[in-house]
Order: sequence, then C-alpha cells, then structure tokens
Amino acid sequence: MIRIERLTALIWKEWLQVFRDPSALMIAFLLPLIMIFLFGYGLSLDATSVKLGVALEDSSPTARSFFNALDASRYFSARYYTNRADAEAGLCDGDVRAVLVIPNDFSKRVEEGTLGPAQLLVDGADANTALIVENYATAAYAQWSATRLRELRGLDGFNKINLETRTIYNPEQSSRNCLVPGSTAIVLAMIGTLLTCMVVAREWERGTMEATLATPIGRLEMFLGKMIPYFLLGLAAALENAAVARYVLGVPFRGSILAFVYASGAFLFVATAQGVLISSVCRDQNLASQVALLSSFLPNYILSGVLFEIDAMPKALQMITYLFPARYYVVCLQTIFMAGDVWSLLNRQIGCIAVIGVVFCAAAIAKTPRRL
Amino acid sequence: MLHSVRRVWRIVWKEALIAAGSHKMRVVLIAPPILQTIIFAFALSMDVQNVKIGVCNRDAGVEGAAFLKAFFVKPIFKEVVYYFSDDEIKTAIERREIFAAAIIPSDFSQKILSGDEAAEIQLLLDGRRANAAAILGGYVARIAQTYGAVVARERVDVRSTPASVSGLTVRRWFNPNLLSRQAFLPCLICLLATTVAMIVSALSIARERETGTFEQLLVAPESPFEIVLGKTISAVMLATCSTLLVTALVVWGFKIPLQGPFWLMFATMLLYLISVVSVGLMISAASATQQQATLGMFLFLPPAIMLSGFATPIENMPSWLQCVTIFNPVRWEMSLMRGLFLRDMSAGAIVPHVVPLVVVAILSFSASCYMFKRRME
Amino acid sequence: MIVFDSVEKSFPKMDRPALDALSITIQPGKITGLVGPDGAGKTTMLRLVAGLITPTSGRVTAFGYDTTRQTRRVREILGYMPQKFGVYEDLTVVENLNLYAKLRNLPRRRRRERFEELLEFTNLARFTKRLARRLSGGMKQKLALACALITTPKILALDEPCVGVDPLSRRELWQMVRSQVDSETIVLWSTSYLDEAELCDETILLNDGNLVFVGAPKELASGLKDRVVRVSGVSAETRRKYVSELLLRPEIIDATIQGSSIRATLNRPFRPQTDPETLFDGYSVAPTAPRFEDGFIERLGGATKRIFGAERRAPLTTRNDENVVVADGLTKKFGDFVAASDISFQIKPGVIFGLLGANGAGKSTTFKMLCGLLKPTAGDGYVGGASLRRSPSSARNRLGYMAQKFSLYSDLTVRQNLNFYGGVYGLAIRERGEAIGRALDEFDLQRYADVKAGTIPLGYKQRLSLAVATLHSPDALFLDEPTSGVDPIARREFWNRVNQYASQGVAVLVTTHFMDEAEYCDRLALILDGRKIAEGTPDDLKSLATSGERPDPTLEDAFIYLIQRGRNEGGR
Repeated sequence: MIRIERLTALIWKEWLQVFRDPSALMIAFLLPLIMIFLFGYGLSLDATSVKLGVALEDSSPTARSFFNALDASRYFSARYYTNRADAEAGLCDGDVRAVLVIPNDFSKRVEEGTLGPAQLLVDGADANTALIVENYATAAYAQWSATRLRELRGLDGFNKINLETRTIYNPEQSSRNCLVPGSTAIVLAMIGTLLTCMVVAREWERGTMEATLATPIGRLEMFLGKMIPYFLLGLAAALENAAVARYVLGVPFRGSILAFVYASGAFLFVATAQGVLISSVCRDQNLASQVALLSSFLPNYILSGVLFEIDAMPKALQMITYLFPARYYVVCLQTIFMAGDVWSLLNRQIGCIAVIGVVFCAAAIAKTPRRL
Repeated sequence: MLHSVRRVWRIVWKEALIAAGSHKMRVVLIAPPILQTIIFAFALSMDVQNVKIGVCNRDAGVEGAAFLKAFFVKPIFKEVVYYFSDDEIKTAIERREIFAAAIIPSDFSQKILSGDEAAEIQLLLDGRRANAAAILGGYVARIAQTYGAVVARERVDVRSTPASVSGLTVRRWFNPNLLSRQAFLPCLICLLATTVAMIVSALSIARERETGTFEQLLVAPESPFEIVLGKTISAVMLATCSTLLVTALVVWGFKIPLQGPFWLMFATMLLYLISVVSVGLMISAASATQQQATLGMFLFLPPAIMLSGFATPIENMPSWLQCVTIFNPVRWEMSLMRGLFLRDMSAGAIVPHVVPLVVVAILSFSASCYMFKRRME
Repeated sequence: MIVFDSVEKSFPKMDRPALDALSITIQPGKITGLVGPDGAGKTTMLRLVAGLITPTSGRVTAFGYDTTRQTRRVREILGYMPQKFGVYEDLTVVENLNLYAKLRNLPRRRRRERFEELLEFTNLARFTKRLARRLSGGMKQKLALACALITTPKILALDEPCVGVDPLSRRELWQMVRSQVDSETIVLWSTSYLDEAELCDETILLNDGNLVFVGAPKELASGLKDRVVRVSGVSAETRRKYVSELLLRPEIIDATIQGSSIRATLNRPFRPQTDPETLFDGYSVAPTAPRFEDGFIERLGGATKRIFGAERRAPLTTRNDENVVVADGLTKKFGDFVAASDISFQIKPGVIFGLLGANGAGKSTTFKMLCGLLKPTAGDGYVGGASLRRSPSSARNRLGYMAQKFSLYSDLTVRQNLNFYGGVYGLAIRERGEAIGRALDEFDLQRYADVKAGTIPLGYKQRLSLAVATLHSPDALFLDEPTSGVDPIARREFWNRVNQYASQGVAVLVTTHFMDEAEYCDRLALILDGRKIAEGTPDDLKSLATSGERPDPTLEDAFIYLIQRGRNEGGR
C-alpha cells in the first residue's frame, strides 16, 4: 500500500517547509537551545551563597568565631545586623532568606550547654530553600561546635554516630546534572507535538491539505509522511541537546549514544503521533497549539519528575503520571547521562513508552483523514 | 481630549463585549486557571516523601536494629527493603528499585557500647535526583545526629558534652510546617496571572490583523496611541477578573490567608498586569500573524517564568543571569506575592519591586505604539 | 462521465441541505461550468466528485467508479484544484511540480518532458526557482493548474480558479484549460463570474442547492430574445437616478449602467414602436443580444425593486466644485521595489472612480495610501481637503472604508458593531442612536440586529459593511473589491445603494476585478507596474482599444489591450 516514492516526496516537502519557515526553525532549533541553557544556568536547586542575616548581639570571641565559620562557608553570604528587630524586618521584606540570631548570652549558653544557644529563623515562604538552609545551618553549627570542642577539650566522643553520605552518580549533588537531561523531554515534547501539530494544522488552514487529499495518497502514507519528518527533526534536536549538555554545560554522559537514541526515539514516537492526532482532530492552529500545550507541554513539565517529586504527590496524581511517557523518559535520560546503560531499567521504561506509543499511533492513524 | 477619551472608551467597551460574548474567551479566562490551580496545588511539591529505602544491616548486636527503628520515619520513608551485600544494593539503586540505602557496619554495636569512638553509618543516595538526594541526606543527617546525641547522653557523662546536642533552635516563620502548597500557591497566582495576561494581549492585535478588522480600525480616526491604550485597559481588566478568581480560590478554597493588606496586593497586581499586558501587546504589534504571536509568547513565557525565582532562587543563578532578571517583571511580582501573602512585607520594601514594573510597562507600551506606527509604513 | 444520482448532502448545523436531491450526468469532451451565487452548492459538488466528502444519500460515480467506495481509483484519474491555493507557498515552482508528480505517480522518465511542457505553456519557465509565495495571484493559479494537470487527468475539477485573478491572467487560464480538453476529459469549472460562465460549453446553474438550469450558456438567455434593450442618450448626471426609476416599473426586470448607456431587461418582448415613448421616456432604445447574466438574473427572479435613498444626514464638508479625493504624486517604495510611482488623480463629488489593474500592479498600494493605511514615501493624498500626511485623523474622519474581506467583529452583534464604529467616528450618543436605527431600516438589517455579525448570510454581511462605512456620513467612500463572492442580484442591489450615495455628492473610489462593475464607474484609472497608464471614462478607454479587427471592444478587451501595450512600452 505504501509507495516509497510518494512517502519520500511528502517527507522532503515537509522538510523544505520547515527550513523555509523561520518560525518553525525557531521552534525546532532555537527554542531547544534557550530551554537547555535556562535549565543549565537559570534553574539550580543547589543553594549556594544563600542570603543569611546574622543578628550579632554578642560580641564575645565565641560568637565571632561562629559567625566567621558561617561567613567562610560557600553556602552563605552573610549580612550583618546589629539587632534582632532589624534582622527580623529584613526577613519579612525578603531581603534575607534566614536570620541567625546570636543573642548576647550566646557564649554563656554555649559554655553552660543550655539548649539552643542561637536561634535560626527561616523564611518558610519558599519552603524548598528554607529546608535546604536549615540543613546547611544546622550542619554548619554542628561542625563548628565539634571543632571547637575538640580544640578546647580534645574531646571527640560527644557524638556517637558518624554518618557518611555518598551520592552515587552525582557526588556533588549538582542539580544541573539532573535538570539538563530532564529538559530534553520538554524540548522534544515541544518539537514533536507542538511543531508537528501546528505545521499540519496550518495545511488545513491554507487549503493545501485539500489538494493533497485529492491525490491517490493512502491513509498510512499520509500519517507517515507527517510523522517521519518531525520524528527525525526531533531526533536531531535531541542529539543537539545532548551535545550541548555534554560539551557546553559539562554534564556527564556515561551511557551510549545508542541507548540515548533508542530512548529518545521511543519518546518521539509518542510525541509525534500525538501531534499528528491533535492536528487531525483540531485542524486549527490556535486550538491545536492550546491542546498541545495542555496535553503535552504542561504534563511533561509538571508530571515528569524533573522538577517536582512524583513520590510526594497524592496517589491519584501519581497514577496519572503513569499515563504520560515523560515520566519514563526522564528516568531513561537521567540514567543514561549519569549512570550509564542500565539495560534492565531502560528496557522496562522504553517498553512502557512503546505501549503508550502504539495506542497513540493507532488513534492517529484512525483519525488521519482521507476526506475533508 | 474628550473625544480621545471617548474613543479609547469605545475600544475598551468593544473588547469587553467581545470577551463577554465569546464562548472560547470565557473558557480561556476561567477554566485553565482554575484547573491549573487545583492540579498545581497538589503536584507542586519538592518535598521528599514516600521514599523506598534499602538497608544492609551487618551488625549482629541490638544497637543496629535499635538505630533502624529510630531511623524509619514516616512519611519520609514508605518501605524498607533488606539486602545482604553492597553489590545487591548497588544494583537495586542502579535499577531505581530503591532511592537510597543505609549500610550499618558489623562493628556498629560494639563501637556504640565501647564509647571510644563514633560508630559509622553509610548512606548511599541516588544522584540522578540531586535535589531529592540533598534533602533526604539532610533528613537522615539530622536523624543520625539526634539519635547519636541521645545515645551519648545515655552512655557517656552528660556534663562532659556541653552544647553538643542542643544545636540550633530553628524557627520557621510564615510557614511553620514548610508546606510546599502554602509556599507555592501565592506564586501560582502570579504565574497564572502572567499566562492569562499574555494570552489576552499577545493575540489581540495579531488576531485583528488576521481577521481584517484591524484595517477597518486603522482607517477610523483612532490614533495608534488610543488603540494601544484601549487594548491595554481592556486586557488588564480581563486578566484582573481571572486573577481575582484564582486568588479567591487560593484564599478560600485552599485556605492560604493573605497576610498583607488586600488593597496593596491588588494595587501591585494591577500594576504588574499592566506591565505584562504591555509586553504582550508589544509581541502582538510586532507579529504579522497569530502564529508568530503564539511563538513570541513561547519565547517569552518559559524563560520569564524560569528566571523569576519561582522554582529556584534567583541568587543561585550566575551573576550575569541575575542581571538579566532585573528586567523580568515576573521576578518582581513573584517576590511581591510571596511577601504580601505570607510575610506582610513592609511598604518600604515594596517600592524597589514596583520601580522595575513601571519601567517595563512604560518601555513596552511605547515600543508597541512605535511598532504599530512602523507597520503602517 | 460523472453521474450524480439523487445526491443529497447536508452539513450539521445548517437548516437546509447544501445539495438537494441532485441528479445530473456530466459528459466528457466539454468544459462544464458550475454557476451560482455563493452557497449554491458549487464547491460541495466538486468535493463530492473528488471523494473529499461523502453524500448524505444517493451516490456519485465518475467513469464508473463510486467516489465513496472507490475513492482511490477516482483520485488516480482526477486533477483537483481547491478554491484556496492548492500549491505549497514555501516550495518553489519546480518543487511543487515534483511533489505532485510523485504524489500522483507520474513515471519518472516522463516527468522531465511533462514539466517542460507545462512550464512553457504556463509561462512559468523563467520562475522555476521562485517560491510560490512570491508569485502573483495569477501565476499562483497557473501553477496550481499545472499541478492539477500533471498526469493529464480524465477529470479536471477546478474550484473558482479565477477568484482574485486579473482579466489577462484569466484569459490565459482559459486557454490552458481549453487546450487540455479532448473527447475523453471532463472539465468541471465552478465560477461566480457570469462572463466566464458564458465561455463554458455547458453550464449547470445552482441556487440554494437546487438545480436551476442545465444546458449550453446560450440557451439560458435564449428566452430573452427581443427582451433586452440598450437605452442611450441619458446624460451622466441623471443616469443613476434614471436606472433606479426604471427598476421600479413593473415591465422592467433588470436595469444596469453600462458605460454611457443603460441596459434593461423587460418581462415581455420589446415593442420598438411604442416602448421608447411609453416606457423609456423618449430616449433612444435599441434591442441588443441577451447575455448569460440577463438570463441568470431573470431565472433568479429579477433585480430587487425598491428605492434606496435615505436622506443625507450631514452636509458635505467639501464644496461642490472642489475635489473630494486627491492623489498627488503618490509614491511608495518597499526597499528597492517601487510599488507605486507618482500616481495622481482627482475625484469630484458624486463621481464613482474605479481603480483597475492586474494583480500586484500597485492598485491596492495606492488604495491603502489614500485611506491612510500606508504612509506614502513621496507625494500626498487629500480627503475632503485634509492631508493624509499632516492631519491623518481628520482625513480619516471624512472617509468611509469597506474592506475586501468582511472585516467587522464577528463576535459582536450587528447593532454592537454599528454602535462601536459610530462611537469610534465620534458620533454623540443620541445622534448615534438615530443613525443606527436608520441604518438598520435602510439596509434591512432589522431582523439580524441582535445576531452575531459572523453568523449572518454573506449578502447581509456586505450590507452591514456598507452601513458601517456610511454611518458617519462621510464625504468619500472607499470600496476595496466590495462585491467579490457576492451573487449578481445582491451585487445589483449594492450598486444601487452606492449610486444613491454618489447622487448625494459622495465621491466613491472603488477597486474591482469585475469588468461589468467597472462599467458602473464614471471614470477609470488603469494601473500597471506601479504607474498609472490610462485614465478616462469607460467609453474613453474602449475607444483607445478600438481597431479594425475589433470595432466594438468590451471593457475587458480594452483592459487587456492597454495592459499589453503598457508592457510592450515598458519592455522597450
């Protein structure tokens, strides 16, 4: 049923159109670059140089030594207040993320071993940062206190447990290493679904679809002729993304290109089929782009686990994430970039994507029009 | 002057009529914001919960088991899987069967009892989810510290370890339980306001251009300034309605109280909407078709949102990027919403946030008027 | 042959079927014209033949293949050209040809030869590497036709191929199609140009989904033999008024202005002895050959009989002897490209001025400069004495504009649209209320007053556009191809209204592709390659084209002659 010549003619035409339309080119190549750089530079969950207000009411050497220890840490950039009220006002106005109050009896309390010699006030308005600041500050205090005790009394047995934490695949716990690979999913959703559906919908609007339909072209040829070009385009963008991530942003790439192409291909298979499906049903650029935004871009953004933790979502929402291929693809990406080719894991994830893909494909072929 | 005001008013009224009469517009203004508020309220969470953890306990004594009992805290951990070797654990992490693993060495009980040196515990974390790893690492460190301190008090002379256990007293202001929802929802109002303001403005001129109504308007005695002004006012009105709806949902539906005065929130929101709408109209005036306008929206919205401090703090960005964010209206409104909703920010702190909004509004408004005129040449 | 066997096609949300129990057989070896007003069912018929839609009941067969069940078979022998451009604008001429050659399975070895043939014959050989987007409207249509013709189809279905195409290109398209017809081919040509329908071998006249007439175009008008007359000697000042008077007489079915004379159709044979005196007030009257259009109007019930003539509400701001619209050396450059060069003309009150020209000649550029949509590079325009450069706002206040496409707010009701534009043009509230009430009555819009403008029938949309353009009693009316796509009866009515405004002293500037419409104009200017190459009354232009072989040229002949002459001079 499929004539190769007709199919290649359709694919070639599609490419010519993309390469001659600046806005399509922008979606295909510029937008991915912007996204990956934003993810690389703009989004970073690693709190470095958090603005910490310090209300230093005690000027004893003990208090100073603690203050200096904090100031020297790369996690904080300390801002000095002479009294508590000013510091608290700064916290209210969002000038600082947290305030450390070192009261005037700090050194006394430390000597006596009173509970909580200093106070940390964190700004809960940004819960995630607050938690990180809390962890850093308590760790910093514990360390300072340990060092001090050791120096003063040569005592080491105050704490009975030493926790040695090792983060495998990503020892510095750099969030960039996770976010940048994850962004590939969003970029591919954009090219695969948004670009595909907008370009196809435009054919309906301009009337070229009517002329093409009136030729002896079959449904499968029509579907493949729309899907293959954007599939390959998406694959090119995926490789572009991987290259930028690896060579410009310095994200490790421990897996093989083969695994990457394999996983990306599976994901694009779903994304482009979805794009063709949307455009066949909508036939209107505005509507199509809205639907693509809601059904592909947003879920990939929110429900993929790149930024927000799936495990912490309510059960019902967790179930929904299983229906979107992004969830599986993000796992593949993070594994391929940071851990390497873990085939047993990859195969399972890609299998899930493929199942979704088959469903979408069947729906898209069934909905591919032969008539107006 | 009077004529001018009347003409601007006609345009505002017309846009309002169109929006009120158009089913599609009503849907765009009402359904997605509400739907998104609800979904985001549940989905937006960076908390680490329900973690599946692996444990390899090589310690034969009671102390290891006792530690594990104290260690297993809900809702952070959901399930514990026991392993016997490091290799098993590594494979499990690799396959993402577990996210973290604790390894208790064989001399754990012995060290605790002897009291000479600290007992070691190894925690393995999956770095593929860096943020989760960092947060979980923090949790576990605190659990271990507390446990260690308790043990130390019991076994060792209490007075010889002053201050070591006490640590810092942490007070969480504005959001005592560090609930993601409470922290995110005010920001979400800002995000949705941005999206809606963009949708109602970015397509408005481009749509008229495509349907041809634009020419009809241009041959009328309206000046570009009057048209842009009329469109700005009406778009701001529509976006305000939609935003107030979302705000009401957040305040009454999700019970997030507004700490600051309502009028201040409303005033800054209005100003913010004016600046976003001006940016939207600028995109619209620059584009020839609706498709281009949509694309312009895509080029503006994601970067503006990512560089707003919504998901990650601005100060984490490289300094050159921090400079770029100065021109990002979303950044300032995001910070204002956080401040006013949760912290009751003082008026003095509001001013520096408002200035960039005004500047952006003026610049982009003049730019749209200019592009409007240029299109006629 | 193509057989429609009691075919009915209904669309959801439409109160009546688009095609109603249509049975007809179309024979090969002919050009069959599908004629009818907008929404008559022409496009539906073509799409049924192409299998793009399926009939609600009944069946369509083409050369024995059922178009619903054997769609692919039909499409293999079909060349189809949709109404909107069927070519890819981002592809070059040769890429378009290549694409369709492959899609339609033209064997590789025959391609080269076929391409050369088609390129030569469409005159596109010079432009093979040009993007279709950059071709003029006429060239685009030729390319689309070449794409449809690529496999020498047995059925050629063309959906209004000449919309927006100038007379010269139109003539070339006809020649191309003519040369393709052999005894085996069926050509289906839908059109709303009645002069074009006359060129077909056979016409199918549709109205509201019903078959009105089938047969040779000559037969349609044959019943009107001796019933069509030409009235001459009516002075230019009274001509318009006289036409509307004639239309009110019961014996007259139709009357239109044609250059300096009036063409009228009677409901009975013309009586040369008595009629000139009794019916035509003593003017000299001569019988003339009936045309397709006369037959069309007669079949569809004749022209609307009523007086259009609301009193003008505001006095003209221009004095009678002054020019209302002045183009003074208007020049527009886009980069290096000169779209309009030094165009000047004047329009006096009460004069209808037509701007003619091939696609891309610069007439819309000129038009847009005059209504303030484009800023001229050099020169200036004046409306009612106000300069478009110096006081654009007050100049725009004095003109009423009607765009080519319906360009009012579809989401607002008719009344809201009127109200909005009334406000924009600065009518005070009470004044506006009165003006709107009158406009609703005058344009018969009362029953649609509170219906969304996007949903009212096309003819009413056009009335609404004119109502909006005249709401503020402007000195000048600017009409940009105002009647394209509108059926001839509504077109008659439209022109009667415009005539009414002109007789009140309003100056009218109009661009058009319809040559019969150009006949309604008092003066015409012909634009070619951005220059004005001729100006005068319709008869002046015709006399320029008169020659030995063409003693009595039509306006179309004159148009083509002048353009060709202009091109030759330009080439030299």
